[in-house]
Amino acid sequence: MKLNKYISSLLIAASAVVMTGCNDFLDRKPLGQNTEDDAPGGGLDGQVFSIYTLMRSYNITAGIPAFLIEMVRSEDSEKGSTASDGADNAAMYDEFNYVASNGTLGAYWNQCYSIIYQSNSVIASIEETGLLDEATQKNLGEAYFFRAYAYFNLVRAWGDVPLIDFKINDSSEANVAKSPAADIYKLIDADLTKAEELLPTSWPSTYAGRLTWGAARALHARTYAMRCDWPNMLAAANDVKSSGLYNLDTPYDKIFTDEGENCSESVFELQCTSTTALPASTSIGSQFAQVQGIRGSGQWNMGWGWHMGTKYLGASYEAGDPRKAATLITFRKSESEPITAENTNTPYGESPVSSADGGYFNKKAYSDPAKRALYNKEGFWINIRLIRYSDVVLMVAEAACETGDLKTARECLEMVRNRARGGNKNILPEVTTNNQTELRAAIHNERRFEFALEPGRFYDLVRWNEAKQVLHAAGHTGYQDKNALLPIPQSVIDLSKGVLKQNPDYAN
Amino acid sequence: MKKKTQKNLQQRNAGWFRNMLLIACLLISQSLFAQTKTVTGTVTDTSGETLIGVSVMVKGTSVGVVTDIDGKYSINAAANATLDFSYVGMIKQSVPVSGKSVVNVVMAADSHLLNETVVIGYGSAKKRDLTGSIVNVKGEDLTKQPVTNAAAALQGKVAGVQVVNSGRAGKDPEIRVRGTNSINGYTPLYVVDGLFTDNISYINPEDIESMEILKDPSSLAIFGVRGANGVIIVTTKQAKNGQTRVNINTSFGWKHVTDKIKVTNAAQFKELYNEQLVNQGNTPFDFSGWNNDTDWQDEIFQDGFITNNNVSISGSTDRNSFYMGVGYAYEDGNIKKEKYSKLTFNISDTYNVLKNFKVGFQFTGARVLPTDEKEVLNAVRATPVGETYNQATGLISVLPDFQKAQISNPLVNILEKANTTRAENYYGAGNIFAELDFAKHFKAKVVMATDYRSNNSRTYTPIIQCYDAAAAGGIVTLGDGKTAISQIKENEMKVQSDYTLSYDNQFGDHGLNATVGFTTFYNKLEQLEASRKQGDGLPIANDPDKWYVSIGDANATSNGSTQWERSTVSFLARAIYNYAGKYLVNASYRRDGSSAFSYTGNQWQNFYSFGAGWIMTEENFMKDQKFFDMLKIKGSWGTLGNQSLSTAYPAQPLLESAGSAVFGDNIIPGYKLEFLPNANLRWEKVEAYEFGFEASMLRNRLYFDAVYYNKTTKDLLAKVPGISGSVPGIGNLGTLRNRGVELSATWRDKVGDWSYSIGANLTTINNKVLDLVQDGYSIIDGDKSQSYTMGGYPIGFFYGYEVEGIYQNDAEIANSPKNTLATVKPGDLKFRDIDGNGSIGTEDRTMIGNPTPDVTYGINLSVGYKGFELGIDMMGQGGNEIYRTWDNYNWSQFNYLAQRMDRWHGEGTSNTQPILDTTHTVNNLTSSYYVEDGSFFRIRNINFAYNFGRPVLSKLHMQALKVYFNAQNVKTWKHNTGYTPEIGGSATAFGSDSGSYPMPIVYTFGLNLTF
Repeated sequence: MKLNKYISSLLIAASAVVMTGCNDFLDRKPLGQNTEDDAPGGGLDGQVFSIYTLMRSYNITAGIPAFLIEMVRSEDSEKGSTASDGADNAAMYDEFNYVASNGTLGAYWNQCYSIIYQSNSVIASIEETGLLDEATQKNLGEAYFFRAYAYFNLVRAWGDVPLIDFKINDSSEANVAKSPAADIYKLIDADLTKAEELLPTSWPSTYAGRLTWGAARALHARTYAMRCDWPNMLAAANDVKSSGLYNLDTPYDKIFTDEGENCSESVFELQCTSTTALPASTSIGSQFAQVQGIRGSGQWNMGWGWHMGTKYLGASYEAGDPRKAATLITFRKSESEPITAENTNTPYGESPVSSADGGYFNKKAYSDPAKRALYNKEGFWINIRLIRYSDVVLMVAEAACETGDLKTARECLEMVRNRARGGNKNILPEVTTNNQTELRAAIHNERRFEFALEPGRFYDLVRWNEAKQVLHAAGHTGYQDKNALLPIPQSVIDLSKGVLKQNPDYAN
Repeated sequence: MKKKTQKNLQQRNAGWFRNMLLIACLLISQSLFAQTKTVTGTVTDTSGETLIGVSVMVKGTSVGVVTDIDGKYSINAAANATLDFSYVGMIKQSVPVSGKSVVNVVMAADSHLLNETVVIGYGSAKKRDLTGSIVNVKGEDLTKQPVTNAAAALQGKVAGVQVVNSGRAGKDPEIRVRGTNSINGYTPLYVVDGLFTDNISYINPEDIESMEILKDPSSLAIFGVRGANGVIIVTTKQAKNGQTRVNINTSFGWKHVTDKIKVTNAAQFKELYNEQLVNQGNTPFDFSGWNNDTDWQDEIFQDGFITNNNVSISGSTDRNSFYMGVGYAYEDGNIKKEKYSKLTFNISDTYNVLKNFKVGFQFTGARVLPTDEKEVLNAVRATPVGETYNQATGLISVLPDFQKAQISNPLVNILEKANTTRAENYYGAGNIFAELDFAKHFKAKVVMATDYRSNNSRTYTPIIQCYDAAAAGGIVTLGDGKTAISQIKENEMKVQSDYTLSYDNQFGDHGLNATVGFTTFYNKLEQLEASRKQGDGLPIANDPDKWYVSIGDANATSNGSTQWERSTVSFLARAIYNYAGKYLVNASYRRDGSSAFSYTGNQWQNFYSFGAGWIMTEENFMKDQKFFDMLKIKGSWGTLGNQSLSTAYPAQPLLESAGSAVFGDNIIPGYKLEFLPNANLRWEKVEAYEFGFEASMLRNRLYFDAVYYNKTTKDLLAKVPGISGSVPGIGNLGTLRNRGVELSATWRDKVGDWSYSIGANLTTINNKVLDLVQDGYSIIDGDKSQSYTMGGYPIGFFYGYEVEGIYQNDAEIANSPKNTLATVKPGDLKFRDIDGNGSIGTEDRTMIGNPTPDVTYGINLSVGYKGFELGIDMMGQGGNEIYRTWDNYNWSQFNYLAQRMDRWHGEGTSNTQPILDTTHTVNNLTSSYYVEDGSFFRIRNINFAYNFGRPVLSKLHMQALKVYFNAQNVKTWKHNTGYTPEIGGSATAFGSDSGSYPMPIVYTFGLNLTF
């Protein structure tokens, strides 16, 4: 029995020692990983920078979902590649047989909301900490801009969407019903107004391409355009134009070359780069040029060949418009086809070979062969131009035209045509009409060719109420008015468990 | 006189001894002359019943007879001969004839069967004292099959254990004990000589003495937070008392793919593809120049060689026992150039320092060269019109235009990239222990154990040139035409210490076995990876000796690391009590502290269990019956924990790097939250109970065990995918239940020289998620979002549309409920209007399949005749479905499944296979068209062996010599289109055929000898 006593006292002593040691033994900090606790303040920059990465994503600017939703639906763009590659997407976006289960819908939707989520987190963190220093306020401006940018994508594509303008702490909080498009625009207006206040007009060269006041104001003009709010559109676009920060001095055929990156007409441009270590990485570059790259063999295997220009677009240019050659890549169908001037492309003198079924590849995503040799063939370093100054000028023209200031409208239109002319007086004559309808048509026409194969053509058609007429004329007779808006992705509706309702035009 | 059953048993034994002594004395005293004469007699059991079919052999000869229906026998034997009496369930006896002509024998029941000891957590116990379900599998049952991971051999052997094996060389099986208990995984805990680990791939099956599979709450609660998915205790071999033994076991054989996937040949492909293009409004493909008819599966498969070799030496003296084993296994894959090898060694020693104090150690080391795994999928998807090689250039050809951008010629990966990943994995695991017996009934034991794994791999990116007629010069270089190297080094360390004190005593009618303990566990993983490209430097040679990152361009470098650590501290206590050997009660308790939740202060959690049993056959009222030798009624209840979660720090607000912002050429990293932290997190808790009975009957020839089990996992930990762009959150979000019945029965008997046994087991699984987050919430998983986990349904069930048939014409479409999902045309799948609202919409989706089988079963037969042994294992499952996804993509044109020849191509042509048209995405929606029956039945293994008899052995100076032939996966009766119906996956997405690997038939010959 003595022994038992001895043992029990030993056990008690041991367990006392053990208990105190236990909590130390169990206290484990994450190894080699920051937590929110480790990054007070300094984390904000990092969180904002992660949004720039999200913006370069395949899903909303650099890949198939973006191209299908924003471009392929217009008469000038087509799915591209070969017929059997993604025939379902051609049926949906070229011929308007919308299917809610289409995978690209969800990808685009989720990426927009990822940007919104991340922006909300930044905004909430700044509001919590109450930091008022200049750097933090600029971060705040960036977050407001990105949230507005994402919501603008959503509201154009779907109309009514869930409005989430708060930091999500529990996933279920993110499951909210749709808000009317008007409310979404209200948030966009508020966000962009704040972004305009907070963002600087320019950044030092180490931050080339970072968000500025001009980007926010120009985006704001776009959102007014989508609503046909001409006075506000005019005011916003005019602010940017009269700021003197930008000009149209860069020749049209230089804008989309390496030389033209961050040129004098760049208002908002997503920055992409390649290094020897990361020649083709989405962590510093994008798939923008890869997805649209020439789909051929050997040296012509430059990408997937998605999003191509239609033959219809090629045939629509004004005679001699140099923008045609700066926008469209012609190609041979096989090696045996002879090289001709027709299929030889400026500025690198290449005659690519591809069996793709589309009309033209996109020269606005065309890489320099010298860099191809250096990094790889798929152009991950090519920047994505989202807002160009000529867009601002043409928005001034359009808004001025709609509000009756035809003189300003003509002047602005001529600025763009003049630059496009490239000094050749024999082409693209100045538009001199004094008829509002004719001038409107001329401005609409100008937008089509100035921004061919860039995002926005389909939404231009929608806001002008011309989509049905134009698409049917181009042979896309599947288009009906309801197709201006997409069905809400089925995957998202399924996750929401009935909270989100399908757009009425596509509901059962 | 017969006061207590316990006493009764002892007295019966004593009585038997008295009889035996008497017989022996008589025999000896009467022994005079040795000459052959007829000996007769009767064999009875202790209660006087005659025994039929008892084997009576003259020792050292092959002369033998069996007792007749009256228990009588008659045999010719020399007067000085000895007779061996043996009978299933009875103790063997050797009785000298000693000149007698009548030798009557009384045989006693083999009480060893009842006193069988099984290993349980932190100790061992008599099986009869336990109230749970523990299955013991002997090492020799595991090594009959050519497996590199012993767990693979459990398939079909143990009720309640579902094993999903892979045909890949060296691939670990998936094991589920009593269903999928969590959405975070199902892997059981392995305890190897006391050490907690997650897999046993590094252990040589030959070194395993036994495996105990623990399934019930009363035996699992002692493992606390690790117990919920079941525990498999592995005990490695120790020397047995006696002389030195050397065992050599070698086998070799080959493996062959039997069930190929049926796809279209070139002519069929051309027909279907052009029909499809026309249907889509495209121009037919010009197949000129594509005149091949390639069977890509034949091109990539091979018959693989397999061999397994082991040598072990063991020896034991009074003070020391020693075991050493070395093993080498080599296996080719069934895809060309795949190979796997494993070298293992195991050494253990126990030294008795004092009579009551012993120390020992055990160490296992292994070196594994894993397979550079290749996929079959390309070979199934590649068009048969594609060419293997171009004759003129000798280069591998690219596939036709409609495939080449997405699908490379299968030979590129299989041959050109063969073994471009070189991996070397090293394992070292061992323990030292000290054990002190004191004060008669006490035992104190300290075990320190570590497990160290070092996984290293190097991957080379070669320059591959192919023939492409469309390219200038006909030769294309794949990729960017530059070489690269990447290297990964991963170390994982586990350190465990156990301190236990146990007490074992029998006082009067009370038997008590009690254990208390304290244990710590530490686990750390560090992974470092680096890669360099050729950059502006020299190309890297295609020579494994050069494949280290130092050879690349320092300017073309990237690197990264992953690391985490987890620790657990636990207190445990258990008592196993019996009264008079018939009333059994036990209880266990464990308190676990875990580092995972130390951030939020929720680190401590308690687990406990209770069990009770009643051995009815010990009661007086049953002592006169002859039917049952043992009948036990048992039941237990307990709480178990589950800590299988992919993140080590679920409660911390982790930031992960999220790409980089780029400004000009200035690159700045960005961060985002990895998941939403939750301050209230705690471990999942499983509340489990079971009850049932086990019985030995008919003189221990028939053993039967039946159990009903019910496990409810509460506070399911789920990483819920973010809604609307939010990052995923982790929470305790639901409840999951598994319940069912486990039945197992074994009949074992011996008739003369023939012995045989028939074993069968059957398990039913009913899996249901009771609730998850909120009503209607679901976790959607799987590569086609086909696997749903939702309240009211089984975990990972397939959710989609039910196909009624094919729309034959426009009239049928007009007369059917309107499909609002897409515009349907004749030839499209016709979905059932489940909700009957007159239109087909998303609310018509329903459960179209369940990946969890309703029932799994196994049948094990064995027959022995003299030196011959034949063993046949069969297994199967039923009631589950497989969802096929690999052919349901539109990112490229694939070869067609042969069943597509029956496609709809005009009214009345088919009511099951839709039109060939990829623009009709309605046919790609998740529907029962892609659901296949997952039931199967397999002859898993046939083993035929011959054991050489004494005369040969003594000439060869051997103790045992066995030659055998084994065939594994002999035949599978299945219903699905893939290679195998055994398809694993994660806890929330499994049973989906996104591309499988064949399960080959494996023939081996072997030799096992012991000196």
